Amino acid sequence: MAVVHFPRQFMPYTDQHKTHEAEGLCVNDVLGNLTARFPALIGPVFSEDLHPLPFVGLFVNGMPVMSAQDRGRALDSNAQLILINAVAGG
Amino acid sequence: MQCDLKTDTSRYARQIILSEVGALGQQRLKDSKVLVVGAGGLGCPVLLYLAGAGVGTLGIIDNDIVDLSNLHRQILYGVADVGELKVSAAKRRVNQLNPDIVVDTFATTLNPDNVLSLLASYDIIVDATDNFDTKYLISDACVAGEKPMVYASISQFEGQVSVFNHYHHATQERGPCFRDLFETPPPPHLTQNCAQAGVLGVIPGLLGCFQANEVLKLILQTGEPLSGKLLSIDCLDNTFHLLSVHKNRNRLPAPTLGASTTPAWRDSDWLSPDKLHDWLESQAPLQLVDVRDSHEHLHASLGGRLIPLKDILDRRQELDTTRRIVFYCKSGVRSKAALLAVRSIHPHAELFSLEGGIERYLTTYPDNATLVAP
Repeated sequence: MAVVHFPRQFMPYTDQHKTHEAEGLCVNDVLGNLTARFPALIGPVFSEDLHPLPFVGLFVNGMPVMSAQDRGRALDSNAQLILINAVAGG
Repeated sequence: MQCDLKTDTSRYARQIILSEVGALGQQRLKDSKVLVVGAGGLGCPVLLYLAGAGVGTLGIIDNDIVDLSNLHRQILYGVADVGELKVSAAKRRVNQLNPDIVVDTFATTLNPDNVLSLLASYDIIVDATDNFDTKYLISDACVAGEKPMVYASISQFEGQVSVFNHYHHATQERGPCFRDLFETPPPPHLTQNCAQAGVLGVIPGLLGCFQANEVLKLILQTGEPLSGKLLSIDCLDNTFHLLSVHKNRNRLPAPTLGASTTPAWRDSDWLSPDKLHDWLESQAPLQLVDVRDSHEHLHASLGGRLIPLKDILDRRQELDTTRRIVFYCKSGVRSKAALLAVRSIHPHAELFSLEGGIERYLTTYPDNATLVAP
């Protein structure tokens, strides 16, 4: 079971959850299950085809997910998926 | 500039005894020139700690004046400074702390015309700004001018810090830049600054301290800088994530310094009232979407579907992207924002924004207020 971590700015789209456990053998699977559970993530976070928008970062165990190959790679059983968003406060 | 050993040994004694600093490191600090862009929540601790450490030359860019609402987090300033230019008050306070350093002040805003010349004489650039336009501008200028950029941003209880465009001697290559992490800024409707979102004063203090630490490591050539790494912090639950940032080899270079590449606005996205009138008269296939509020729609409209701007993404299923979509509002401002929001999730849809809004349209075609498009 992968654990997905959200920045607080995404919590309005996740029923105020900061983390969520999602099933999936690869990133694509996890994102499919994640957005099925929290469809409001589509639009402000993911495109309709479940790609992170250009101002969103997606990481698996600290490594960036940048390609279709990354998205299809098998996840280990305790994978940590981390989402971050571009912020500009200073 | 040589160290005054008597003064410096006393002032910097507690850091000179560190093997990572020593006399050589202290001399490096004294010889360094660091530009801090933004003298706000992040910039204040950065400036204080760099001045305290003995960085020889500090540049400060900020065009703002001190406001009472700044004081809970901008620790360079006091009540007596309210109304004064931040760069003036900052220079005075920094030189009170350390009169031996040079402080250059620039009461201006960075823009594509001045950014390269302002950055040119500094070794390290600190991004302590509070807006995306300047962050992308600094990043692009650091790439063009081959300078390291020490970045931080905050939002409410969270923050990010990294070192971009840092030269790695081992690989003889520069590390990733800000655009490699976030290719574009979010659209305006998803963006909030501290004034809108709020911030606890200690958050920029913490992130500014991390930035100052990164600057000192770069100057001292010690430790592992956050190059190719992003430290993401949530101070409400004390979550720290150290994330790898890689160069995006598929990314197109920014066409101009600071350019916002997507979601792209094109002049051809404006639809003239005449063209819309032609399309409606000829019953061309299109979806007309009013992005004003319901009371405005009821007062006068061109028909079509009512989806207020604030709901445009939540109700995206109601948009028919198989046809042209024409957004309209009162004057064109909200319809442009709606178009950019929808383009971020439907980059290939045929989207238009009515130029001048319903006001201009009804000036030209006053009898068409009841036109109803599907």
